Amino acid sequence: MKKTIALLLTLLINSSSWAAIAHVQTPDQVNCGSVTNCNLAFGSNNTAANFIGVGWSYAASGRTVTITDTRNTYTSSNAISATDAADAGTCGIGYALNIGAGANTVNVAVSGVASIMRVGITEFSGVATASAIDKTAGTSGTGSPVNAGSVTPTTNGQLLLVWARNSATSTWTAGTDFTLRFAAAQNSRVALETYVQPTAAAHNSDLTITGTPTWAAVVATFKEPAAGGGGSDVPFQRILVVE
Amino acid sequence: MINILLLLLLIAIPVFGDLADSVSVDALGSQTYTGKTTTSEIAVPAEAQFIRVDIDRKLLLDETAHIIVSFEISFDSGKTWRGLAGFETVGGVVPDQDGKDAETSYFEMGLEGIKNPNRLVRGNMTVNKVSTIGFMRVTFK
Repeated sequence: MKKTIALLLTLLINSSSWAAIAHVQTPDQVNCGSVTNCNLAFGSNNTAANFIGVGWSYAASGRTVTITDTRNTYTSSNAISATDAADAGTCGIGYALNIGAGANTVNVAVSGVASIMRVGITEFSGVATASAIDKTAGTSGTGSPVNAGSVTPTTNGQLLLVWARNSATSTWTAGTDFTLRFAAAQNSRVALETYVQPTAAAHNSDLTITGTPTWAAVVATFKEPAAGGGGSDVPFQRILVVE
Repeated sequence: MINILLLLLLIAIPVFGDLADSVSVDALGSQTYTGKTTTSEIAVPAEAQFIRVDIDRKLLLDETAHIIVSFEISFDSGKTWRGLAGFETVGGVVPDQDGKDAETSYFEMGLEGIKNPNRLVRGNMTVNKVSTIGFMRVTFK
């Protein structure tokens, strides 16, 4: 009887900490022209304590980018960015942790009017509600593959989020293990891809594109909660060891 | 009063036929605006996969003018609405993507619910001071 109760308790405790990072929703990206702000709404209400990732790009460089929404606080938005000097375009990633629940519209503002702005937003569950950011990288180049760089997350189960923009209409294909998050027909100039990596290891943050446009791309990785342990790929072993 | 009638005429709900390539409707007509103006509900063609909303800025020459455009979408003939997208811009001469003077400011994006005949969109435009807008045009394709 004692053993059964202990096993049940262990199951409950462990299952509650297995909230592996999972995709919730990603609306299609929006393209704005000759604007100072560009905003995009989620299709469904956000869920409390989830994560929002924001990909942004504009056709210039050196601007200050500010991300706001109905209720959440975003990180310094220029911190994770890369510039394609050949096409005078800049892209970057911002994020909000431990978000509030409800309908939500995310607004990206740039200092000064931008001739083209693109914004993509995505919601994930299971990301740490504080100190989630781990690794970042960003670079620019020409033609395929588009590769923001190789990153090596420090813990298992992290979310790898890649945002890329290019100088011409292209068809994007996700890199190994990644999933493209926009409808293919809308992927002409920007792409958002994500991957929840079961076991921490070096991984390229790449995509392929058609043609030979110039591009810029960035990647950021986000941790699970520290108490969550090793991610979604280590289920029953943990229960049996405790028992 | 005349302005209101003109506005109502211009923003009447359009009826679309088959969607060959793209369909456009002027949601707001050419006139001076101030404060918040709401469009009527605009039917989204069932096959439409894409929306673009432009405001004509050729007469929007005051650099201190701020214009905010936001759109909502309904998938159930207007019973419920949710946000879609929008933008903010300023008056004066600003560049377009080719470096020329922009004639419009816009947003464009893909639409969910293709083949749903019950889709509607509606928008708001808020202007901080009296400003002339050539049109607000909604294009589906």
